[in-house]
Amino acid sequence: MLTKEKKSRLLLIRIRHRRMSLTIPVALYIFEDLLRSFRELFLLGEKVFPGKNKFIPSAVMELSLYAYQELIRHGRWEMVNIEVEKTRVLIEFY
Amino acid sequence: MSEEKRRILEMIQEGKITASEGMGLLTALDEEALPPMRTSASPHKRFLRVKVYTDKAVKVNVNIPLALMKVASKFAGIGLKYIPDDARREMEKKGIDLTQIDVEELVSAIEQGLIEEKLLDVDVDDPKEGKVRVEVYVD
Repeated sequence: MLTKEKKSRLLLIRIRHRRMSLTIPVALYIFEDLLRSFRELFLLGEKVFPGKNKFIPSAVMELSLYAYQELIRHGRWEMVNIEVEKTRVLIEFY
Repeated sequence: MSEEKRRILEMIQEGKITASEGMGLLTALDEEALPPMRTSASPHKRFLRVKVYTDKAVKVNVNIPLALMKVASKFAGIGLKYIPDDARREMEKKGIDLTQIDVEELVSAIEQGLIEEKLLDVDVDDPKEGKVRVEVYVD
């Protein structure tokens, strides 16, 4: 059966310390665009300046893109929820 | 014998259904009664979960998609370089060598459903928090 997955669009980083609370929203498509842009830039660099170096930056970007796709495919989910003394850190995908 | 089975047999006896039709109905009933087969979910829907909790609250709840673990396992060697020297020495004293752990193989075994039980399930008595439970599992 073909079903359309509900992908995450937003990453929320929440930090609560006693009564203070800080929420950092990150639009996920910016990450994707950034990774794609860097991958293409590195690919161009590797074509123009071919080296014998084993480290291939475009391959790292490719893996990062794969990791990104895995992270956003679950829709709404909680990745990290850690409480240390009076501080709580949450990383959630929406 | 269940009521349904008895009725099917009665219907065969009365000639309302043929023996083969009755057999089909009985088989269908047995299949319904069987517990669902355990099938391993797609790695894209499975998570490695790390939970630390006390009687009062959840202290740590980390969920990592298993497919992401597959990517991360390729970089496990790099990550090990960042373990502080004193922690590394402490582990060496206890005979623990993290470089001996084949993370890729471990992830592959989890993916294939070879490891079904919890990877870690420890109870710790903390003087400050009381009873603390640490669990690492895949679901």
